[in-house]
Amino acid sequence: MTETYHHQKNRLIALILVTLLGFNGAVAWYLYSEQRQQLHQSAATELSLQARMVAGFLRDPLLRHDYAQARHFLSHWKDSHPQLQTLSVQLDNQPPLFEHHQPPLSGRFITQRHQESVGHWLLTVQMEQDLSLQQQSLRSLIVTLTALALGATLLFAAILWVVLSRWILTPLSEEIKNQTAQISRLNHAYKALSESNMALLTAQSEEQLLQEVCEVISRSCGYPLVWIGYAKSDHARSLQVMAQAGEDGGYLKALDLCWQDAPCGQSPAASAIRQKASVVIQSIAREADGTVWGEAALKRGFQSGCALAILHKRHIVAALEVYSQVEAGFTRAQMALLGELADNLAFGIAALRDRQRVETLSVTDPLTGLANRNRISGALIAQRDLADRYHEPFSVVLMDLDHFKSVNDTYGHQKGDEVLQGFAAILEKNRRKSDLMGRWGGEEFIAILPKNDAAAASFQAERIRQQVEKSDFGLGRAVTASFGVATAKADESTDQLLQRADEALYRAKGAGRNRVVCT
Amino acid sequence: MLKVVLLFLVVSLGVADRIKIGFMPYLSAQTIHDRYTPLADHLSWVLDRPVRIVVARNHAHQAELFKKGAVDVAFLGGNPYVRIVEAVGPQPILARFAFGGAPHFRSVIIVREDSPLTALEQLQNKRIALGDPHSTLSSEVPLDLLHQAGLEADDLASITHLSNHENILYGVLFGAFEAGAVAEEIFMENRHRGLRALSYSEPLSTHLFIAHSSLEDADVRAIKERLLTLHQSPQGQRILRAIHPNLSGFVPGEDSDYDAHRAILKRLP
Repeated sequence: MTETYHHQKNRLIALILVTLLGFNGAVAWYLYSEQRQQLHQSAATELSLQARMVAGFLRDPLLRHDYAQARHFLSHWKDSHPQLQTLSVQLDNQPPLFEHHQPPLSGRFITQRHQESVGHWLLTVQMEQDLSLQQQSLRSLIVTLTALALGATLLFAAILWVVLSRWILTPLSEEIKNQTAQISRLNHAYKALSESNMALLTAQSEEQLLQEVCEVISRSCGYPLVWIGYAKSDHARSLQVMAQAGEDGGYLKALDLCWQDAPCGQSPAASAIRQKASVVIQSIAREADGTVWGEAALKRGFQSGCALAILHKRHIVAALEVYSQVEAGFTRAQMALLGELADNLAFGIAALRDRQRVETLSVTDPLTGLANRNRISGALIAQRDLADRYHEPFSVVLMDLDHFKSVNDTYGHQKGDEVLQGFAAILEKNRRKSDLMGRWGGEEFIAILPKNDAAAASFQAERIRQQVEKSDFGLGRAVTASFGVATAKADESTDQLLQRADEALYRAKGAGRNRVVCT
Repeated sequence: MLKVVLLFLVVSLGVADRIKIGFMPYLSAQTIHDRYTPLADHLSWVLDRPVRIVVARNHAHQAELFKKGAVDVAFLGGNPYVRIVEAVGPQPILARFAFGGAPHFRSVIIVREDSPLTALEQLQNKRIALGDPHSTLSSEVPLDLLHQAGLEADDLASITHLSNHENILYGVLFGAFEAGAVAEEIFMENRHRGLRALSYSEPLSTHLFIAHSSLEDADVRAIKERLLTLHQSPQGQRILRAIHPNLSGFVPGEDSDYDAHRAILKRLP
């Protein structure tokens, strides 16, 4: 960039120089033309005067018939006027009284012819003067003047070069350089914004989104550290680092981060969260000297920093904090772009969370929070495949609350729902990590128990049955449930498995309810 | 004061030591200077003394200068020589001109080439340009020619005496005069300009240099010897050509060589 400005400066100087030289040349040519014309006119006038003078001098000797004196005079005149190329004197049409011709030095000469009566003669004096000497002198004069003007022009150009270099263009160049750097940073910020928007579209999870945004900002803008912290609503109002990019040199681990108004909450991120606004520290050395985070940042070469609050529906979600290795590393335009990026990020977080919620709703029973029939069906097929691939057993337990209709009829549907929710809580409580509990429909529930053979599944079902039996679900009377257990056989379809579990449940009902029957 | 006295002495000695050659103005003073300066310089080198050219205003002035010793050597035509000898007695003749080897020349009456005049008799009532009244070839000899042709001064429209031969020939050339008289060598030099000879005189002994009686004999001998041998050296020939292209050298002269001039002077009224 600096080289470009040097070139531009030199081009400017060259342009001025060429213009001045052209001007000099034009002035020199104009002066030469003007002076040459004047020279021609003055020489013609002088020659005319000479011819008149000669004629006047000749009058007396000619009238006295002293032709020798006249010739002597003319010879003397010729000798004393070496610029005369021709001097010819004639009386009437007689042979010349005097004739002098010298070879022309050049083609540039002027001619004057004077005639007057002398006695009974018509005296003709003809003179030609060579202008080459005068023109040569004039050319020498013009060349000298042009050379002086050229020297003056070069001197002027040199002074101009120095002045432009030292006092005008260099500061201008610095300013433009700074502006160019700012534009470059802004472009990087735009790039970061664009790439982060792409991340918004493609991220599958909140964690992935936050991490990608941090990396995009760090990579595109060259910031040494970018991180996002969630403002927790716990007692300590802790600030949880969710994602970070760049080499922080252990900066974040060294800090006890929170967002309350306390020593741990003095960082830009904490201030942004509290103020629900952007915070810019253009010089950490001047503005944050003495703070824990400031000293830690300076120790790692961070000179300026900023933080932007990530808000969703006016509620604080997180804060984005960025550090720069130069002072004043964040212009207003950059902050505007980062602010836009933070808003987009907030939108992205909210969108991901909404999507997560919708996805959850699509596979969850809204009353009990257990998996719904759709998810159970899909999980059953998946489990069938896993079992076949790894030759592992798995079992299905169908559960049905006994006499549930009488509960609804006696205590109302509200109470009935509470019983269903209570039963689901028992299922969730007994759910192992790999188990899946779901509501199959009405008061009927299902459990998919991977790696459980018939005995293990029956044991699990019995344990649940006993817990149900002990709970009254706020009804003041016992509520029981029946369980049908079926363990998957090789080459058995899920429908066949469910059929067998349903048959077991039917047998448990038929045998008096509140029991576990395994096929 | 001492410096002034010394300067005066130097100047006086210089003047006394100088040899002056007096010329009748048969040509313009400038032309005479141009033509005879090489000769004067040469004689100056030979004599180891300054030699100066003095051009008289006219023939009478020259005779006066010679008579009173203001010039040491005189260049004269035949008639002035005869008059001076008659006035002051015989003077040593140094040398006389020789054109083409002959020490004779003629006076010529000239007209323009396009002039209808073909004989002297036709000059009646014409304007004639002559030289100094005492000039041999440009005045006295032509008047004698006219006299012999039966024309006297009253028969002519006018007789105008011009100061030199050059003026005469230009006067005729430019039509100011119908005829004029000049020395033959002057005519030969300028005939190409458009002049024609109407009549020639009999051959007459040429102009001559004479020495004043006050000049030292050694100087007289040295000058005479140098003049007579001038044509023998290339440098001398260059000097001769500067005086006149046809001048072949200087030859010795005797007083009797000018008897023809004496006869002419007797015939003139």
